[in-house]
Amino acid sequence: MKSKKLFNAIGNISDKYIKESEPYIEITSNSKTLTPKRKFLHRLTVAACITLLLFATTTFAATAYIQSNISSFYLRYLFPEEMAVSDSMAEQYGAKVYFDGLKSDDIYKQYFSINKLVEYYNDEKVRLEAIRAITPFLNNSDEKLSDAASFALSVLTQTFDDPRIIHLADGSLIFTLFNDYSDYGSYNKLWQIKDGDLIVSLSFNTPHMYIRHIIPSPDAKLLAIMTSSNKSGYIVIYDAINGYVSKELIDSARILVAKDMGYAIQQRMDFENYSGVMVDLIPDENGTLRWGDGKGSINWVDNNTLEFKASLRGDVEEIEEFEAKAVVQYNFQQRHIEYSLMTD
Amino acid sequence: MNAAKRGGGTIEIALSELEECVPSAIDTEQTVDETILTEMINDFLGELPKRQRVIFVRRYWYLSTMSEIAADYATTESNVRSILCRTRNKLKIYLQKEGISL
Repeated sequence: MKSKKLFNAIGNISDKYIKESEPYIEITSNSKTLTPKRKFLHRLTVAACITLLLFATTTFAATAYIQSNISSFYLRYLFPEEMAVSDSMAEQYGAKVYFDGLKSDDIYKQYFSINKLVEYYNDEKVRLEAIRAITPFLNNSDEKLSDAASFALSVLTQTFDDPRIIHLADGSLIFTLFNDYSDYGSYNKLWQIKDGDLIVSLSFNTPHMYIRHIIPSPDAKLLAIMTSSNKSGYIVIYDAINGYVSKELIDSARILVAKDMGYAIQQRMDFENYSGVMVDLIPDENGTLRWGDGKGSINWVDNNTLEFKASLRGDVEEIEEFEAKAVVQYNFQQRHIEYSLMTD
Repeated sequence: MNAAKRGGGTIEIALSELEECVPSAIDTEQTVDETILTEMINDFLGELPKRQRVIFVRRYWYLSTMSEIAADYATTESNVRSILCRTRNKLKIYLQKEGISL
């Protein structure tokens, strides 16, 4: 009956796809007065009746299964608008908003508040109060919540021993908050503790919705930052010490490779490029294939040169589309990009 | 075009075909409500080449038969079946990637 859920979801797809696929109907039948959507709903009702009996018998078992298998809460995307509302509330009422959040019974509010309280690092009074308030969450049964507490305390207590905190060559520290809150990565803002103060080092806008990986150069002076949307991947090299950032490398490679192959690539309005670093399907312990995270496709060749394997695609609107796989190298100092095509 | 000709018996068949797209529930992180699932399917459809998308929607939204789709797009039933099979596999991998349990 899981397919029925999928079937129902398909029933609500965007009208543009429905209209685009409209059959070439001769208007001679009894159904001519029904719109396509109503025809679908009519059939759905029939389907619902057919499946209701079986569905009822399996619901109880399914519910029990689901409850026993959910180990943590799920966040797919923290919208910037939600974040702005929270910031606005905090601006008006102060850190109390988040301390109240910690006291609530809502696991989402607790998770949100733990992460947001780290932003008060520069306020000594709030920092010490946050340490006291967050510490009990270390033993929380929800893994995401206890992990968030552990990370927050690593920063707030100034031990900085969490492996996700990157120690740069100048002694400053780089990290993200809401670490891996989604399947796609962390919140798209990079924080830096420099000369004892916490500052926003770099932030991204859509389609860079998530920060997926931060990989420091061997001398810890540069950072390769992989961001992603739900459809595309992006890489920039960031010099957090001197405040410079490279051009976006996936799209640069995509345009360069396409041009050399004789394709004219246009930029989409939503800046999605449907490209990214190459990821492999890797079998998990149960033998189920899972997508890798792509981190293995990104390597520093030396202190200035980043190499990555990229899957590059062109316009997806037409059947004919450009597609290539390439090993790309970018030298940050020389601003030079080059590639070699991969063969399957 | 009457409903019996186009949809008769097709819903059950379409449901069984879609069963192939449902990722294994083992080791999944979440269940998902239909609204989010619809958003994901919209995203998935947006990534497909137009011909593949149209054929998928014709089959699972309009519940057209393979022969109707083949006739409308001047191709063979076997080709339609093959396109649908590839698209279902893509959808399955897409849903797996999203960590979806239905």
